[in-house]
Amino acid sequence: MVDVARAASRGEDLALARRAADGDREAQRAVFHAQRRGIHHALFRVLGSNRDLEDALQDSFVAIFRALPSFRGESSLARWCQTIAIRTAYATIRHRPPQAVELALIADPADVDVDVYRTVRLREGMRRLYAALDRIETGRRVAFALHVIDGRPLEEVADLMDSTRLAVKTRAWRARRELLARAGKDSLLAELLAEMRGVSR
Amino acid sequence: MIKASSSPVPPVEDLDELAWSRVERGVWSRLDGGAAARAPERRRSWVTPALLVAAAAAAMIVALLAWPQRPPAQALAIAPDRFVSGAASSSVSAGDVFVVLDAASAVTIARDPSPQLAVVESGAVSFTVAPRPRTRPFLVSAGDVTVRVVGTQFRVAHSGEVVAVTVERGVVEVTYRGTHATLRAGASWRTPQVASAGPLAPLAPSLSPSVPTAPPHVPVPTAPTAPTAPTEQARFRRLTALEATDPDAAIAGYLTLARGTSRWSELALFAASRLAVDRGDPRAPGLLTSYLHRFPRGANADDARELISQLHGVIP
Repeated sequence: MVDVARAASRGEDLALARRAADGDREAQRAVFHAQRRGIHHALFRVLGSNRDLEDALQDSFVAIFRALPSFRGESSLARWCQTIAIRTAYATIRHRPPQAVELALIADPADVDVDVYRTVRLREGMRRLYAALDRIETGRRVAFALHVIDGRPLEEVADLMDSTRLAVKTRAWRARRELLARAGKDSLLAELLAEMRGVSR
Repeated sequence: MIKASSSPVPPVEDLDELAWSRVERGVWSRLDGGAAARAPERRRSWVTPALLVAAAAAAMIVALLAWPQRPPAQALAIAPDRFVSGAASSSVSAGDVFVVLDAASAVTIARDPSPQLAVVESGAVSFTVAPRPRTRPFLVSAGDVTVRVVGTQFRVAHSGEVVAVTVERGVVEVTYRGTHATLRAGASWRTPQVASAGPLAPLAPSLSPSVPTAPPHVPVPTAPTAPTAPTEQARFRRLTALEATDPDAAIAGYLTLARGTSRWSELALFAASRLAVDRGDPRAPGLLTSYLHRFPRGANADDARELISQLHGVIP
């Protein structure tokens, strides 16, 4: 039953992709609007914020539309589009300078509401995490971002990275090891990494 | 300790619709016009010159064969395209320019690339122009007004003798009867209502470009008002129009709009700062400082710094 539904969905994907590949602007718009959320989500997790994301989204969609003639429906259109988006993210990461790591002061928890304090610490922790990710090898960063931060299964990340489950697992593990080494005396980053290990296991 | 109830990872922050609109326009613009320009560089080899020679020869043969059948109106390749919208707004891509026509608007766009020229005949038209060399500007003509742009997003409305220009991104140069002005993001400008007026004396300088120079009730066509709550962009435009009649209310409105985090919040905060400077409002230095604190790399950050410098020169 599930296979029948999946096959029907793939058939619709393929028909839409062919129309879009033929230059049908309405079909292209349909692809854009159907895929934009998923692509934005994947790119946000890999890049860490909406900084540079508009350019990355443009690059991704242009690459997707240029590659659409090669879409054969072997995977879902969403997965196929996100694979291309991840490839373009590599270029974005390589061409932008690393973020400056400025340690922010955080108010004493006694002075502020607990939820606000937690939110502030989380945001600051994530900022430091992505600043550290800027300094490690891109493949490791992408594997870590998609598997550990975003919580996607290894098989899915392997698909998105055109890689194998084992390679993704190894890259994510190496990324964590490097991040822990970089965390050094940064207790906030170390705590965040520890929390993520608990969740991703 | 970071104690998370489920996941320690904050949710993905959505992009606002304005940003999505920019992304979508950029994609169509690049697909329609920039394919050749942005094609990846290929590795040079001895094959390339040979292929070029063969391609050139083939093109010549095809051209010679096609010559007798070529229609006499070959000039159509560079002839202007005229676009007219009906009861609803519509959009069109012309090369690397994306154009949105309000309802009941007309624009003619010449395809001759140097310089590319659009003429707003009537109604209101928004342009998104991909960055281009200064030697190949995009010109928009509306009545006696010419807008020169090298890559930006802006809107030109033309009704009778009245022309209004609003800049959403980047910088444009406006020329009106021999007078020039530079408009930056968030700024707007319009012609006076009296048709016989000479060169417009108060044509806004670049640092205070959005001081309206027209009487308050100039009829400028706009899209039909939707029954839903106005968008931030629509609120911003209304506040810009309000500056002439009730600047204090305009500042208050800008400051309300500035509480958000969108691009329009940034523009609103700068507009409030700039209007406060123009009116000698004592809040001006604080607003400019607040703008630079929140948007240190904002589109108007350079202007804000310059205004602060000017204020320091004036205020002891």
